[in-house]
Amino acid sequence: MRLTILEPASQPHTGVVACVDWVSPTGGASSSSSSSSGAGGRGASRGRGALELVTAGDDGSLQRWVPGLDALEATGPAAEAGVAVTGMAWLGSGGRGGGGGGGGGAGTVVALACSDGTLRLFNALTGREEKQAAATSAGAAVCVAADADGAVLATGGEDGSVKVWSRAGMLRATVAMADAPVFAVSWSAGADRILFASGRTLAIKSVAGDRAGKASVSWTAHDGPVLCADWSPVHSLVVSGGEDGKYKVWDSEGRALFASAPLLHPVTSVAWSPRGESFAAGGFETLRLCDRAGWSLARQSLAASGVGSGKAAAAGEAAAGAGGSAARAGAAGAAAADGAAGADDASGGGGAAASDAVPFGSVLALSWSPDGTALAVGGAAGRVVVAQPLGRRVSEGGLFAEHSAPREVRVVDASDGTTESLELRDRVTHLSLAYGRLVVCTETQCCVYDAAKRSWATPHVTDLRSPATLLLQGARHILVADAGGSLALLGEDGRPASTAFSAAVARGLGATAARAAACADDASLALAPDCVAVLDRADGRTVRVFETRSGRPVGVPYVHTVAVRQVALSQFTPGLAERRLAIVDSAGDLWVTPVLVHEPEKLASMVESAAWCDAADALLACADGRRVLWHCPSAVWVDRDLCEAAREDVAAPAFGRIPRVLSYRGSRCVVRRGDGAAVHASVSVNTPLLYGLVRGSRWEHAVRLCRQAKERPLWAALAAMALNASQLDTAEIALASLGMADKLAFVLHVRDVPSEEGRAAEMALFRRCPDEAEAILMQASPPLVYRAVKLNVRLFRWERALALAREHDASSGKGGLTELVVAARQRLLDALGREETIASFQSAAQAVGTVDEARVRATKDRERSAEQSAVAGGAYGGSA
Amino acid sequence: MSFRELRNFTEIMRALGYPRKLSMESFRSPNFPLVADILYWLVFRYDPLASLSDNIETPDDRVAFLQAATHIVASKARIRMKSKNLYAADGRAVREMLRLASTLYEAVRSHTSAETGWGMVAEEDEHGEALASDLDAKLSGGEAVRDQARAITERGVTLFGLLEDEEALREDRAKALRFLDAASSKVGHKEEQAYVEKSVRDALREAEEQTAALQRQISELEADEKSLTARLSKTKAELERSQQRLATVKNVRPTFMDQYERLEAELAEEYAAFVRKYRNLDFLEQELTALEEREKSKAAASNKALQLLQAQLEEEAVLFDRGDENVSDKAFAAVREGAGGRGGGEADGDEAPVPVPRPRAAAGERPGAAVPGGRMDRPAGPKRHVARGSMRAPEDADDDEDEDDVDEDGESDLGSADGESELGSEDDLGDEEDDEEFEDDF
Repeated sequence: MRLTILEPASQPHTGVVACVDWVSPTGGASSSSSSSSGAGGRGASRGRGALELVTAGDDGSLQRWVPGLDALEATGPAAEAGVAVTGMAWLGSGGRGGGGGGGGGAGTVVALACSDGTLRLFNALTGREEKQAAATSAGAAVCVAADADGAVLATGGEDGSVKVWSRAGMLRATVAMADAPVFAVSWSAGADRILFASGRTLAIKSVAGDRAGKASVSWTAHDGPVLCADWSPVHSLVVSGGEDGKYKVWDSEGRALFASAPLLHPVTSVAWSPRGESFAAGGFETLRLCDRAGWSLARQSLAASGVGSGKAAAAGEAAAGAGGSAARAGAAGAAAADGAAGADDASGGGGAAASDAVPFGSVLALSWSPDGTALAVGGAAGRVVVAQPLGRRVSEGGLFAEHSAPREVRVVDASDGTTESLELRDRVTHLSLAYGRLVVCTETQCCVYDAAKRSWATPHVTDLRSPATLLLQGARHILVADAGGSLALLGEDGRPASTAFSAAVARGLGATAARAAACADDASLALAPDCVAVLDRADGRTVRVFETRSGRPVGVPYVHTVAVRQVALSQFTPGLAERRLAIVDSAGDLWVTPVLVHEPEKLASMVESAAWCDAADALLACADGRRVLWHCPSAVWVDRDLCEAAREDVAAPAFGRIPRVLSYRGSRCVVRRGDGAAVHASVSVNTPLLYGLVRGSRWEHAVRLCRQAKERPLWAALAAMALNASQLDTAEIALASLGMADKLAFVLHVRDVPSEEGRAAEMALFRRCPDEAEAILMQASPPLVYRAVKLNVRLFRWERALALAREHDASSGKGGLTELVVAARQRLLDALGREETIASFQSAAQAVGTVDEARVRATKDRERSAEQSAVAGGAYGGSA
Repeated sequence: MSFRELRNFTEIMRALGYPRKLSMESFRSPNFPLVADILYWLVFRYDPLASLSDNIETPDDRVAFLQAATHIVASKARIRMKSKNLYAADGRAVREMLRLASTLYEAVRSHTSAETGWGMVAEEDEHGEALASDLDAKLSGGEAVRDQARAITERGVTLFGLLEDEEALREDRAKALRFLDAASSKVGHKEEQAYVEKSVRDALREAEEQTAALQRQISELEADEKSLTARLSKTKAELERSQQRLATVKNVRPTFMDQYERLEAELAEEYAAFVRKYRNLDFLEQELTALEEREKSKAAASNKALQLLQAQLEEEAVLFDRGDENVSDKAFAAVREGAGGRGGGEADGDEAPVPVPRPRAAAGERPGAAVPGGRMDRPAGPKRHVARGSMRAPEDADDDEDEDDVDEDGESDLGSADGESELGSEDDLGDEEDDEEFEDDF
């Protein structure tokens, strides 16, 4: 990837630019009206017309900028604070939250932290100061942050105080008093916790005091003072930069995930992209774009771009372009390690252009636009530029699509060497290529191209209500989550699949809908052919599943015990009854549960990432430096031993630290290593074949495949699937091959049961569900009472057996079963040499009197032959 | 101290290229050495020719340093800095220094926007006015730069080698230095003196031992020389004796010598006689072989001639049978030519002609020929054989009436007869068979 720099014609700031922020004056919803009424409104597209940039710095003036497609223009000072500004936060559009503010320009209120220690609220549109309050007891207020809704503010001061303010500027609480200046504050996703940097430490504190489960954490982060920190609401990762020249990534418990090599100069600003897949880090004269795992995607020297003339800017762009093309040449064939190569080349380009430079100073302010296509950068030398990340690349088969220019996607077909350039109407925000379809999301549209047929001229275009935050492609559907808080489902050809889906899902999600969609990433949303799983980002534990057809919720929401890191849905077997949900939680445990009825089972611990296969219901996980593959995770509900036997556990040192499974298609998986390299690995070829055969009920072929493969996990998977489908012959072969004599004996026993219901009950017993087994027997017509009684006797559930027998004897009037139960009990007691202790049996024994063995045997024979004759008469489904 | 001033100060110092890293925490507690370093650096940035001591060891020195520095700044830059604040070396000092630093920074920024670039400023002090924008200047400087680069490389290599040795030498040097220090600082100290004396004594003893060893070696060598000289003279005397004996033996003439010489002469004579006889025998044998060869070739030639003739005669007989008179002449002419050509060398030939048996005598085969006249005489083979032996044989044949008849008969068929003769020479047997067929037809 690379960053292209957009340089404005003039730089109105005379001093340090300490803060930049994107402001959407009228909110995201009514963008069309604002483009005509808003200042300027020149040639900008609909989506961007609503967006403005506000900057402030030491000269005390607020400047407004209108970003165009290829220009950035200052529209003059918006307001004069009259004092040096050190921090700024936009309070959101306000209208969305439920009528706050109201009236013209309510969405343009920004909170400023000033060097005289005050917090001031300014209306950036009218330039009016709305509120002023003292934020510190001494020294400057250094930083201010608003939560995602703009409902609450936090400030950090030079005196070490961290304070929480209401939207109107009323002090709510002093959260902490640190002994060193607080240089950065940031809100958690749910606005219930605050991250702040003080001295060398980072600390997370709960706003409402230390409640259970939300204890505060604090850790030493850097070797020098921490200058900047940002907390992503998407995946709750923290990035920080310090005076030691490093930027580091942490999880919300303070565990270090990544630490960069020390740079030459301090890292003065960091910012997560709105989608959370990357972050920007700024230092002296340089800007870096890094993946969420920390490795560098692109580096850009800011000193390269010139003032006014634009000559140097062009040179910088050319250098960046050259770097990009070199990276393209280098990584044309394999997608592996593309990020690293691109970053190196881009840095080379930046270095070459640095000789003819204008100073930028340290990057003191960074702000991503809400759609993630532009990054505003403010520097210590008073310059403001906008960087655009370009060069994202996706590929499938021999097809490569690259986001080559803001409004252009270049598609290279490696099979015949042709290059297509797709011109879009707006800036491209998302790019996805899978299942033979290329999906390009712009700010206002979603275009679906048929990549398999190479038809680039006629995409199917769907209008988006607001910019997309996530694009997820499944085999049958395309799921688009947008910043407006809705989930839209498109068919594979790009036509809306279900009109009711969005509304129904929004109803189902309720109040959490907005955040679920706005903070969605590929770990919090999962798409299967018939359902969608959505993780609630607010509490982090609730997973809701919705049908794709109607948008109706499937079952009740599943609430996990701890925070969930990743959700994934099985892809292969059709039908909601067979759909499984895999969950990786923050403790690193991997759980699976059916989506209809929640029976969560833990499969493994210390799991970093997991993915389902698209051609089989196999689950792949990277756990503790190993690659673990469950050939048949559903076996966990059939027989845990079989599930364990169907597990393939291979040491995978090639995956490195903190690997992430990007995809698992067919027999190939792609894993992103912690250092950014993409590792392609081949996993069991036979599993998809086996599933294909089983889906077609070709059990003999499946057996032959297993015999050919001679793999124990495959046999176990087949055994589990055969038992699940009550294919006893196949199960017998598979169990015999596995050498599981006990299970084999049971299966042989089950096969001899004459009635269908009887066999089903025995299989339920095999699955360790005795109640279900009894229910099956009793619901048969006529009920298999003798079998049910016998089942309870076998399981030593004496009272239940006696109750059933008495009930039956009373209703049929024949009797005999009670005597049978009593006889069995008597034999057991005799064998053990014990006295009867159960009261009901004592009375039953008295009622029965002496047990006549011959009569008992006669009863047994009678019941057996009754069942036999009933089966012969076609009473129960089928014979053995 | 203000957050903003501290931030801006670190930023400006970074932009100016101050070599050390300035932290936001540097001035939270008084840090005079850092303030002095920054001030010193700033003053020299402002005026490279300023004279300023860098001694800040004692409080008096520090005060003197600050006074000198503020004086320079006040006189050169017209910025009055409060020494008291600087001496505090905390946030207030930062505020003072920020004024000087920002002046420098503004200069740099305005220079950058007016002139070529930012990177040039740093080098301006060293290169003076030479902004190196002139291409010629750059080119002429290239040679010198290359030389210097080479020199740097060479020096670097040398330095590297020396530094590598340094690793090994360091320890020894340190030891020596320690010893020398000890010896010099504590003159008359027993231990060192004893060590020196011991060392000297050791060296002396070693030298003596070496001398004795050398002497011993010399005497041994002399003994060796003597023994070798004695052996040499002995060998020489032996050689002389042997030569005298050789001379006496050479002068004696052995017995039987006269007899030996006489017998040798005889043997030579006998051998000459043997060779002569052998040569004669050989010559005669060669003559005999040549004769036999000649006879054999002669017989072959005559044989061939006879065969040719015979063939001609047969053809002739065929033509004659058809009533062609003219044939015989032609045939005989052909035979004459063949025989004459080959028999050129036999002009004197007195040998008897080789009798050639006539194959398949025409007379025997064709008893009932169509032409009775003279045909019955044809078998007179021997007569013609004789005739063919000489060059005149064809003329005799002309006289033969049979042949004439044939000649007269077949004048008109000359061409065909010719053709047949040619064919006949090529393939006698085939022709004959043809003839037989014809006869059968007849």
